[in-house]
Amino acid sequence: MVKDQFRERVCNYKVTSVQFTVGSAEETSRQGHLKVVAKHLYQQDGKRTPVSHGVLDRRLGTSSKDAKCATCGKGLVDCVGHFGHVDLELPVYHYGYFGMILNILQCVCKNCSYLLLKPADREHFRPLITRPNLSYLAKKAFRKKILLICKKMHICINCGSLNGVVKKCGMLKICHDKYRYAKNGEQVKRVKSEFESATAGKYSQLDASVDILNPLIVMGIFERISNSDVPFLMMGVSDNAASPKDLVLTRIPVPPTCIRPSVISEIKAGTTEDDITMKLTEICFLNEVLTNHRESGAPVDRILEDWEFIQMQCALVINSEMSGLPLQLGKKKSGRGFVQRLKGKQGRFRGNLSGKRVDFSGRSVISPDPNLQIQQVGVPVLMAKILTYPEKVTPYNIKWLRTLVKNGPDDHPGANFIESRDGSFRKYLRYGDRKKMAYELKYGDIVERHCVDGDVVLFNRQPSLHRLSIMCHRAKVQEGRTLRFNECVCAPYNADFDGDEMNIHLPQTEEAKAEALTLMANEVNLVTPRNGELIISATQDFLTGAYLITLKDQFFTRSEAFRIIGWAAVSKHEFVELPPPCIMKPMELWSGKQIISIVFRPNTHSKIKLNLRAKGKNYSGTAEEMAVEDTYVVIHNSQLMAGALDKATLGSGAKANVFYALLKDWGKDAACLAMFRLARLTSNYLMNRGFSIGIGDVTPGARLVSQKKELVASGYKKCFEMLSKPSETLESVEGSILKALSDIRDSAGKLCVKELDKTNAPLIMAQCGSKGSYINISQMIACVGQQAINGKRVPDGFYQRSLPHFRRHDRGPDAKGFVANSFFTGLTPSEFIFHAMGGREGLVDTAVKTAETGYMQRRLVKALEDLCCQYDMTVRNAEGQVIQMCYGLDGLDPMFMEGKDKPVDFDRVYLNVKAHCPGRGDAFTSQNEKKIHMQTIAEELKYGSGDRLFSLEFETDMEAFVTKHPFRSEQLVNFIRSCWDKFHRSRMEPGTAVGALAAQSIGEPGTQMTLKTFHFAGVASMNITLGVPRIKEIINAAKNISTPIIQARLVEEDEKLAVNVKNTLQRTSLKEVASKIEEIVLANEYFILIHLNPKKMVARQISPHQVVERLKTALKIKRFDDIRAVEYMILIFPLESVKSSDYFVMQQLLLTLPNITISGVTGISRTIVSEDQGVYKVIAEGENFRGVLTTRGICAKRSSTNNILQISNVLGIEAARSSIIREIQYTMESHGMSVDKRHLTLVADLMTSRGEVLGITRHGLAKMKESVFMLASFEKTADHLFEAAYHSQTDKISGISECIIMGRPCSLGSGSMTILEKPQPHEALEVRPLLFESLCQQFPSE
Amino acid sequence: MDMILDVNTWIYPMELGDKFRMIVSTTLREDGFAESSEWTPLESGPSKADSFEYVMFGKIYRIDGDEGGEAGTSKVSAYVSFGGLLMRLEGDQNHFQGFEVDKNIYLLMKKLAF
Repeated sequence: MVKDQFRERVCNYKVTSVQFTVGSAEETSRQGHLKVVAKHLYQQDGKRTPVSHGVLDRRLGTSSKDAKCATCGKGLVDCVGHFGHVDLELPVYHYGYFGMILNILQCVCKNCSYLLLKPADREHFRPLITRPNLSYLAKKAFRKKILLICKKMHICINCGSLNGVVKKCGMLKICHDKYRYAKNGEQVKRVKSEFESATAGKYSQLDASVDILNPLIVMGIFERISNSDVPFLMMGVSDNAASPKDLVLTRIPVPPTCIRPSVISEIKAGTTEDDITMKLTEICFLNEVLTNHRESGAPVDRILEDWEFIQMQCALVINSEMSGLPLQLGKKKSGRGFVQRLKGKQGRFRGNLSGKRVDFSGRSVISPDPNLQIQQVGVPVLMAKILTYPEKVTPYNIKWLRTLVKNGPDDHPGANFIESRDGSFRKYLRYGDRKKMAYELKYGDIVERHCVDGDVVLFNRQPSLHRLSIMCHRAKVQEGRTLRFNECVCAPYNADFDGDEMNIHLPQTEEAKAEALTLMANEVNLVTPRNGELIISATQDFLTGAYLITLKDQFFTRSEAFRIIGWAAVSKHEFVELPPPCIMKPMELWSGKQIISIVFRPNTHSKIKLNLRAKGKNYSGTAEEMAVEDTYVVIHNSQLMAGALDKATLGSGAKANVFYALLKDWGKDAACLAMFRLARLTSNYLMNRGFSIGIGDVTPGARLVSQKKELVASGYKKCFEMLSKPSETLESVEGSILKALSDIRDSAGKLCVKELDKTNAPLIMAQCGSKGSYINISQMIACVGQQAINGKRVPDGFYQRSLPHFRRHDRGPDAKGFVANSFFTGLTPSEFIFHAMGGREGLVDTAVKTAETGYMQRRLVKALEDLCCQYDMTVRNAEGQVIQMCYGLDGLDPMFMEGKDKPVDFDRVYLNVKAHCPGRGDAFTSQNEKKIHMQTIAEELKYGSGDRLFSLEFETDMEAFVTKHPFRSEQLVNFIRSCWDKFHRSRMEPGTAVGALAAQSIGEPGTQMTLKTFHFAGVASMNITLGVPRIKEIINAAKNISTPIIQARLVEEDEKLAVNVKNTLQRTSLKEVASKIEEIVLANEYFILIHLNPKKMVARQISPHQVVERLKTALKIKRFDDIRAVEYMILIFPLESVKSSDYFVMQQLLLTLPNITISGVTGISRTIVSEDQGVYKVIAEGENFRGVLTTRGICAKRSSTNNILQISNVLGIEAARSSIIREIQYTMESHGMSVDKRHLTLVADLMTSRGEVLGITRHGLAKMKESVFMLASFEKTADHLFEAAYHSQTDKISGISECIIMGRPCSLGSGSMTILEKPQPHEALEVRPLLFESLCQQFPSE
Repeated sequence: MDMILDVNTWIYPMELGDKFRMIVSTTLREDGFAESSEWTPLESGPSKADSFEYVMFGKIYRIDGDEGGEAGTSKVSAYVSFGGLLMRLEGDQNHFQGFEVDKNIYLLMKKLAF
């Protein structure tokens, strides 16, 4: 059972490509061993012998253990099975090719089979389609184009016969509407009358002009298609490409029995047969019936009925979930057809080929253990005895392995099996003389030993949304039944200990171990590739503990101090050193800050000198460390000088972090050890000190109660004032009420923070960021706050009120879901219901969101999986097409970005340099001297090579920093060296699967987005969609987005202009500018008089003349004098028409006139002017981007919209690309997620790489990927396979999905390079003359 | 000279208006020699601390404000942390002779009776 090390086999056996093709009838019989005719399965002998020539014939293979295959004589395990075939009496359509058959019929003349293409078109397409290396995408496109042209040809150029529309009529039936384009022609009439007279008017309901094309006719048409026409059908050019007639089935293959085993049950009589077997027997039966009927001369309609039935069954074998099944058939469960076996999550592609079950793995509940190191995972002994590693016996380990063998399978460090070097024997160690076996152990033997401490294991938690979901740990075998790990590692797995289970895998070869350790070890993955922030770091209790220890007034006596530092020791042997006490007199006292410094630097022998200046979580103001709050953290040479450590400085998700600085400046081991020390120290400290919560912690004091009461009262007052104001619209009032009410909770939160004791446990947790927020505290102690549903206050569930407890039309805070009580005081019944409503929404959201983001993630990964950074820094897909010329435009790895999207954080490097080489002042007298010095350092680093030291951008950044800050000479050298080092370490490694990283970096944060769907764009009441729905819109390249908004900038910042532009954009109807619309009846005249309001007209910059023009087009008035303008009056004279009287027309006009649009840009529904620091913007809701850009007064260069397809149409593909990046970034940022720009760039580049914006959906994917396997394993499995067969497509097995399906190594990462073989020199080839070459030379062409 | 100083008032209460004597020293030895690098709690012998009531041990971690290099004119501020209890001394550069970043210092205090 030992896994072989992976070696690329001898080249002869490599699968280089897979070709799909439509099998012909001849091919089917050639591959088959047997013609199947019998309709019965078993003989009536009671022994279940399969009937000869039946679908279970032994010659097709065997499905039972005791029977042997009659063809190859092998047993169940070895026989691969053999095909048979059934010859159909009459041809039937193949279900999968039905659509293609229709298309071909559409393209050829139904009379003479000549291709319906004009000679000019033929000549146009011929060179294009006969190109040798036509891509799959191109083939599909040409088929579509040719079909489109052929559809327009109605008369065959060859025979002149009519050709109409070929369409599906009913289940698997094709009809030809021959006279579609000659409806009332002579021919039709003749045909119809002929039909009438022939049938004597019996079938008057039938349309005689429509031909039914049965499979036999279609076969005939296809057979007659000339060879010169076939290439235009794009069915492929290779030798084994199919011919059109193969699309119609005359012979169906019978698959081997081993893929459709019959289950012989011992309890009940009879066997359970596979659905496919049953369907095939049915086909055999029907086939026999049909033959009999035909031979016996049964009536035609009887035969037709049989034919239809056999057609149906043949289709059902392939796809049992056809739509449009006749009722009597569809009702019963139709089983699994071939398509059903392949498709879906549990289907062959996704369930068996792309993902496989593995050995050497375990799964158990997880639990926390702060006494484990960061890289360790506690493995239960029980599990360790089953997970084994095949260790080869060598002189170095033979002694140890002997003891293991002696221990056997039941004692823990033992072994389960031994295998000899030559593979001649394999012994189970439970039985037999283990001592002897141990003694006889030889070098080269393999001992399957138990998992022991320090073994390399992979640890994983589903859902595996990013690469950090499966990481490499070191095993630590422990008692107990759970898998354990340090809580610091919860974040990457997104694990908690409420019953979560996790998986463990034990790699089986040295290569796998080595690769796992260098690539997947959690030490090297402390940082997420999403943005380079720390993901493994202190959490929860560790933060609380560290915060409590490092508070400014925390001091320890000698005994306490010694006890605490003891916990910081990593091992028995580590030596921890206590510094002199910070207070020596009147008594010796050590401060917590001194003690926590031991975590970073346990003793004076340690070389680690950490330097950091960072803002804490609650930092505000400018006093830095001199502020009373002590929230500014200063670490000088590994000593904590000031500031209490909290989430911002210890936790994950930040770069101004102690462990981050340790990791970047002192390496992963230093960071891991420090984290481990902190975990142990703080959790032990907390256990000793005690940290708990009680009712006293949430009991408000008298002052708090009264203040809160005031707060609520004033908030209520504000609300009622707003409600009593009649002037404003409902929406805007709702908005401001919501704001006022949420302010109450916020200020209650602030109140709590101010009033609560500083020993209050929830407050401490909120302050240090370990758990909970100020709002949570406020909810417990003061006020739960407004409950929002769908971003609004609680809606009316009853008639004009939310609950029957309130009066109708009550819009007050209480009636609309404001919970003024706290959890401590308890909620009133109505408040309780409101709170439950809000809570329910949250639950529904999370449930919906997980499904949605999971699917999004899958699509992203499928689209981006094969993108890989090459050695020339380009990003290419599996076909070698360039997606990006340089990864992320600068070739840097997001994982190593120390600044925001920048590789180096100059401030920290400067701080380090200053601390390591102390000394004050600037050694340089002038900037020029400094510059020269810089250049010499740079020259030194280059070692004389002419390359640029950094990228230009980086160099200018660095120079700017250097000129701004004082340096001594030594400091400058160190500074530049350090920058150089960091910059070069951060270059992207060639072979990295950058696509997968990008997909994960966008998909994974999606799962964490709370469904905060809306956000106001600058001004109130302009919503824009955010969160998962917005990301989905962008990724899908959706045509219609839910909130299209155009942000138009103006040519100059001027309020008047802004208002003008707003008015021209805004849709204005006649009623908005007219003061009166009258109907005037005079003795001889009868008209409508519209009085326009001059003021409004001027404001909107509309002249009466324009109004007239608009009305003319709108009312379709043609005669000039029907409408005329007299200054600000417009007269309309209604015209009497044939259909209606002038009175009627007049009344009609009076109804429609007020709503006629006078001005505005079509497609713009609402516009708003927004002003921000003198910058005026016109924000318009709507789609018509082009219309807005061309409006006078708008600066087209600076205006933009959030509709990506609009941008692509109006501004082009490059603009679309940058807008994708911008939109995703904006959405992510408004949810507080940071994703490195390089990831977004890659996704945008892929989406726009084909020249149009392709969504990451099945439609988009089908337009960017060539591989059939990849597409089939994604969605629409069967469709892609049938289409590939039609085109005789060859899959080159180059992408990830294909390689996994075929079991080949992928061309990414460590598989991205192979050994270049020196080719054998070819024998010199002799140039043979062409056949008539000599003649040609004799008669040179004229 | 300006000074901001954190004092642990739990064990050494101080009131506004108290007068005190304070010295800053790099050593506690009476003879003024530097101390051995390792701290030994049981060290005996005459100590400067004997005549003071409140003694703190800390480190200078930052000295600011002398970038110009012109003596006498610029103000310097030195930041000292006594295990988190901070001291900032601000004053003329001449008063900061011997102040260097990374240097350990002692702060000794004694209240004056009147």
